[in-house]
Amino acid sequence: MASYKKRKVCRFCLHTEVEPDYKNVDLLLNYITERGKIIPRRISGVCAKHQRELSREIKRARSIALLPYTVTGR
Amino acid sequence: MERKHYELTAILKPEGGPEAIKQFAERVDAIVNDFGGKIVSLHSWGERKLAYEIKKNLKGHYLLFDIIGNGKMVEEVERNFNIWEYVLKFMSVRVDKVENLDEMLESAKGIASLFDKQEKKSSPEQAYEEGRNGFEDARKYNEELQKSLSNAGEEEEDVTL
Repeated sequence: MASYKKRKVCRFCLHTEVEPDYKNVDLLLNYITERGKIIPRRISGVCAKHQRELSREIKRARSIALLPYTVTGR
Repeated sequence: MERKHYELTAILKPEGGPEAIKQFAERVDAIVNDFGGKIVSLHSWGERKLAYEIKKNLKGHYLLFDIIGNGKMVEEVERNFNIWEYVLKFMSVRVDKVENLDEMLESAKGIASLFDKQEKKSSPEQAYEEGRNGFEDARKYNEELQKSLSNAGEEEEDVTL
């Protein structure tokens, strides 16, 4: 029982009214690490379709400096 | 005529002040009109801190245009953005979701009225919500998500990034 892991459900499939969008920075911040890397879907539980959309929107947000490409210690 | 909905985000140098921004928007409007397009809405996100330095600038003034027009028009606007030195960076995105373009065109008023409206400050999140036609709960959803993410700690797999 100790090793039992609850199956994660894609949040975007659950809440169809929300879609990844480069303008929704608050949302995208949940899907990048402190260093600015995109969180893999095996960890966030996002389905393949939405992970594709998510990564596209994160990259868009990066290109207009809403999100960082990298966060270094300096 | 070929018609599509485009979102154009431009980051301007913050030094110019409101007057320069208005001038900029009018110049964009002039180009768009030349190609028979129309600016449907205009959002000013104000001065925001940039996530990284662009041409030695740490801050920039964001403007978001919703434009209906054709690809040639976007090409021309982008060409001009590259020439105008007060544009730090820009991005144009074609919006592919199903929309009633005629309705959007009809509701579009001139650039002047858009400017009255954008006096009240907007943010990227607000622009996002408006674009989703009355979905106002995006912020609330974000908060809930944040909460559930922090609670989800126990069931997360043990993977270090």
